[in-house]
Amino acid sequence: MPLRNQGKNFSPSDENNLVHDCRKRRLAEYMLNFYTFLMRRYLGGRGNQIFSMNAWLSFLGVFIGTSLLVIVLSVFNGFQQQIKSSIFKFDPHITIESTKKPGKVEDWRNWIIKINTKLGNGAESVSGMIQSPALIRKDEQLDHVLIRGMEFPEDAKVKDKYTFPKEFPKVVEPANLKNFPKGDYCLIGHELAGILDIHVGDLIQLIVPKGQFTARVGVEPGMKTFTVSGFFSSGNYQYDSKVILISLPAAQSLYGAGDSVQQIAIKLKDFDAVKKSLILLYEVLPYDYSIRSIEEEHRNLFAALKWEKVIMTIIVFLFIIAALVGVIVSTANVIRSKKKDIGILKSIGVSDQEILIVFTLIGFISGLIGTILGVSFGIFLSMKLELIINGFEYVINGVGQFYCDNLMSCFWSRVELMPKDVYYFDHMPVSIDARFLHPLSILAIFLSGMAALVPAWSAGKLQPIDIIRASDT
Amino acid sequence: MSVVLKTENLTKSYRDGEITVDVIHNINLELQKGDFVSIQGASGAGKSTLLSILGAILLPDSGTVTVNGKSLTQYKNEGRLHEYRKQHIGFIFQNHYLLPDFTAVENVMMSLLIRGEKRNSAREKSIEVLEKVGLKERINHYPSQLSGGESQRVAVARAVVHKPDIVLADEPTGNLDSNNTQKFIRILQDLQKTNQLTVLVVTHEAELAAVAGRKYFMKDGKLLDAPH
Ligand SMILES: Nc1ncnc2c1ncn2[C@@H]1O[C@H](COP(=O)(O)OP(=O)(O)OP(=O)(O)O)[C@@H](O)[C@H]1O
Ligand SMILES: [Mg+2]
Repeated sequence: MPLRNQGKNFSPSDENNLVHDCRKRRLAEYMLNFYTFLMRRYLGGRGNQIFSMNAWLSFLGVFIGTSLLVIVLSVFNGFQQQIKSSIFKFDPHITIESTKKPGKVEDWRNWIIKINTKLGNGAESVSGMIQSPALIRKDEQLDHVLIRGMEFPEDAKVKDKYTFPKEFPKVVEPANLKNFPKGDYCLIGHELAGILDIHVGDLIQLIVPKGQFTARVGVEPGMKTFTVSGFFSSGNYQYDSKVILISLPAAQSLYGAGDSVQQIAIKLKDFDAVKKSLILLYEVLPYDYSIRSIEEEHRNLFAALKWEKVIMTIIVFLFIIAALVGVIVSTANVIRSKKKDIGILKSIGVSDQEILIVFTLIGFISGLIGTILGVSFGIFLSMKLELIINGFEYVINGVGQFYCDNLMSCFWSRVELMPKDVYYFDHMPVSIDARFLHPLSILAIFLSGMAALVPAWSAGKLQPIDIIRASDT
Repeated sequence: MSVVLKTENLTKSYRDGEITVDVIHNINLELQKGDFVSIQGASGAGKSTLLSILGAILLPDSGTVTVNGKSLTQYKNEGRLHEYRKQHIGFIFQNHYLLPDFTAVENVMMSLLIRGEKRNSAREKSIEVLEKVGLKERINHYPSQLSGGESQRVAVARAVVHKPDIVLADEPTGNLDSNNTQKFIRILQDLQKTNQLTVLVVTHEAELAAVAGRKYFMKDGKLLDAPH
């Protein structure tokens, strides 16, 4: 009896598996030994360098490309989110007005009940609203503003006070304001407060067109004094510098509107349900009411947001292409400088595929490292972007000031890199979206491998005889 | 004695405009295991071309090359010409052709690594051969830090470390001074004897040709027995 059969049966299929296993292990070893041996040197060059010149080029291309990409995407994304959320927080998602009597909905309390039952759970709030331009007077200053009279919920704990609804801009001053008194009290945007030098507790006059327009006297102006209860911040410069919020009863009395409202304002729980809700509303409301969605109200803006998305996509592609060109060029450079090596390696028995793999992996690895570090760096910069912009501003103004004061004796006017009134927001809105980053990183890594494949392919096709003969002479 | 390499009616020609030049003409050559064969001949006789064909970096127009019973055409049809080189050949060129980014020992190791040897044992074997060619002190030098003679000895180590069926050498002493040539010849002879290597060397150098067991001349693409 053969020795190996004692104690354990050894079937042919076991043996096959063993051979297969062994071959797999050998291949893995081979990969580790030969490929890493070549690649380490070709990526790293001699001695203690981390990267050779060409590997640096390829790495830097991908690194810069991906980090810029992350920053651009984060800023774009931040802008869009900020714009949307500031508007959605502030404005009703759907407004209803009467077309028969413009600016006047009289039986609005009935309609609110009907709309609430129709929309059911979908509605966050349905309320009456008056919104109209006005003049504000503070001491000797006049400015034009937008008054919004809205329904505030009553404070259950404190008598004769309103609290703030759920979706409401942040009240920034006084910091912990939970409620404000009924009557002629108002909340104003914090930018407006800055412009007119208004403090909490100050008195302001609001001047509005009162009642119906008549041929005899035109529009009779109405004027009332309000006490400023606090400042709000919506994050949207337009609103924060122009809007004054008062309670609906105060607005009704200011405008002499009796118990009518100008419009019924609907806020939905889910903004994406606007279209569906519009259809429901068409079913309950008669034809002499106009129903408008927030998108119609801000048509230009939403169109611009859509365009921004298109432009963003184009930019993404440009960045990726730029990074890929870097990978192609640098891999081609590596290959050109290693042409003789390739000939030698092939003449001693390295296959076309192995050459192809080695040089593709070289591009792939610099792409991989470049993407990982580039994305990380991009995220880091995005988070510190405001600081960086402020830093730039500081340096520019510092140098300019110094130059003017000491060298030229001129007047230096401060440079603002992100002027608020131009850029809509009071801070740099940055939002890093992981949903973008994951596929983009994977795409960048994958494509840098593909990009390296192009020159690596030609390296695989090099004939050793040509190279050896060419360098013979 | 077993036949390691056999060629039959090997022919290769180049077209130069209208004229076709036969560079290799009906060559029949047989190498036994342990043979040391030299080929001499004038410049342009076709020596390098023959060696390139035997090393499978050039394909013949007609005729066959067979190594250990398997023909070059078979390898080619399987798309695995590199396997032929990997399994049978050790190449020494006139210029050493070392990889400039790798040290002496790494260059020799490469020969074993591409054949699937583990890194540690590849290193040990390479150092062993480098010691034999007298470069114990130079194993961690880069080619740029080696003299021409030293580089050529590294190239020999690389060509023999994996114990190939055939070592092909094309004017290996062409760039060496007489002192280094002497050294090189002694080393090659020594390695050939101790390892029973089959060596085919093309050379101008009478001294190198002299140590070969069998000597050929090449003229106008034809292989002739050397005159005695
Ligand atoms: N690719 C080619 N195209 C055309 N002619 C070629 C080509 N390669 C070689 N030849 C010619 O073939 C002939 C033989 O060349 P080969 O290199 O084999 O000569 P050799 O015997 O090695 O010469 P040397 O001693 O100078 O090295 C030469 O005349 C050469 O010009
Ligand atoms: Mg030659």
